[in-house]
Amino acid sequence: MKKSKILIVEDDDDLRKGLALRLKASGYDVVLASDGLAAVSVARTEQPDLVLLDIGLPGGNGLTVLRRYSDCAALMFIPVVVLTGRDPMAVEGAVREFGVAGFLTKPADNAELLRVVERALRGEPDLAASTAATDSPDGLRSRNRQESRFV
Amino acid sequence: MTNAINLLLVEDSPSDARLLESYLQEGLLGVGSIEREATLEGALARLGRDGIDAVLLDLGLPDSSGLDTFRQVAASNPTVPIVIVSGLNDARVAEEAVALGAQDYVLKDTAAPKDLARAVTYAIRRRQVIEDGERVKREQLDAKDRFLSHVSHELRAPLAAVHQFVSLVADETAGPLGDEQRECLAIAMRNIGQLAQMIGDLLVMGRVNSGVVEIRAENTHILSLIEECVTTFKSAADEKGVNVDVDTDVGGGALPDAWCDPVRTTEVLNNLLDNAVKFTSSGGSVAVSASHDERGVRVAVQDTGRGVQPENRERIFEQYFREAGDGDSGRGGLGIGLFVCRELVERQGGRIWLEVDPAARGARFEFTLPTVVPALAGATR
Repeated sequence: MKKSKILIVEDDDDLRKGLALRLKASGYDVVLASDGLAAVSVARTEQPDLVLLDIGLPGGNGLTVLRRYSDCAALMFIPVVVLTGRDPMAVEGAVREFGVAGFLTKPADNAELLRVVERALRGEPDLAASTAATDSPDGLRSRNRQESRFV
Repeated sequence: MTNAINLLLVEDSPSDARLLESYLQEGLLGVGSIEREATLEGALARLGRDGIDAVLLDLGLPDSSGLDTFRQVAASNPTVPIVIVSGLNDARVAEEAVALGAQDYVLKDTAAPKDLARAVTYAIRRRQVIEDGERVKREQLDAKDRFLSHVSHELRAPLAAVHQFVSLVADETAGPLGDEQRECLAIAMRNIGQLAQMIGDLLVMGRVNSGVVEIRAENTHILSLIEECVTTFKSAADEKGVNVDVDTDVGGGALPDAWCDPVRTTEVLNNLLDNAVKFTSSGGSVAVSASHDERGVRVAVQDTGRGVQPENRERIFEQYFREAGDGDSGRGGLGIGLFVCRELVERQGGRIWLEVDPAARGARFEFTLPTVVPALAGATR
């Protein structure tokens, strides 16, 4: 079976490398981008199966990247999992409006990261996102709900 | 003062009012307007609208007298400075009004125009100084919360990198390990988890302080919530050799649903359980129980740990408070957990406290939550 290709968009060099090693070890092909501009150009040339996207980025932050993806016919159907160090309450609502496949806060638990990535690749709806319409744009809240379903 | 001063003169005697007005016009620079009301009712109505910089208040009015006049006027608009104008015979009452928060008083019979002008000018200036001080304090608190949020954000990237690389080694992705190395890395991973928790706590505290935590109450089955929380603590407690029990026997029928936010209540329970396990040593136990009475649902978390010093019973709920000795044996954390618990419980209409039983070992935290409003329960079922 062909390996799934994941684009990691992360400006922190060390974390980008760490995430790449983690995803490679789990059997994925990995391509990298370290700013918002590259996030769009690399996505066009590489056509990844999934994007793991940071929000605080130079050269156009993650929200700008999401907007560019949603405006582009070639990129609009690629699932995006957001991984951010920002206050979920400040960004999750805005991120969810783009219909992202997952929302994680740094440092994300590896098992959870891989679970969210696998689910997104299978095209399954994100549990937290399905409640986002009625729920508040509060990461902790959604995440707690989500976790409680796995307990 | 650059802006014209708009005054409200509350005086029922037309001749006194005319005299005071002429004094003010003569002695006070920059008078914009002097409005007049002859009754308490009229004064309260006028102060309900904006545009008054200071009030000159006669306490003896047709519909009110003495300190009561002052209290009502002050309560109707707490930011406007009040200067009492009083006759010689009630100077003592005027002094009492100053003790209650009036800026100053002048005696109608003896005051010169410049005395009246000075009293009004100083009253307004003093009020401005106080307001400026309060504004600066508010700005400093806002800056502190912004700083906490920023720090929390900035710490996450390096922590996430540390977490990723240590876990890559720990789970042998980067090559096989011996038992000793595996144990070392497991300890590193546990500490990374604690650090992540603390950074998250900083964020939650900033939110609680700035009042942006939303409470969404719904009918909540507290026992299921307790069982879910206890499940998540089982492995940490087992590892430490602490037994965690849930007492589901609530005594006297089923536990009614609580009217609370299940997510916030979970945060409260997690904090209390985290503390209970943290402060209980191996061989000890933690017991969670629930009961109810006419005031609502009551949840108790009891441990057999070292307990809380009686003098700290109230203070442990204060922000940043940590008991002496917290730093000696292991880690007491940032002193945020119980503060957040209290805020979250009180915002849901409940109460939280430390139960004191001198005979019992350990600490017993209890909190209440309101039960479903009967009318509402009928509507939702």
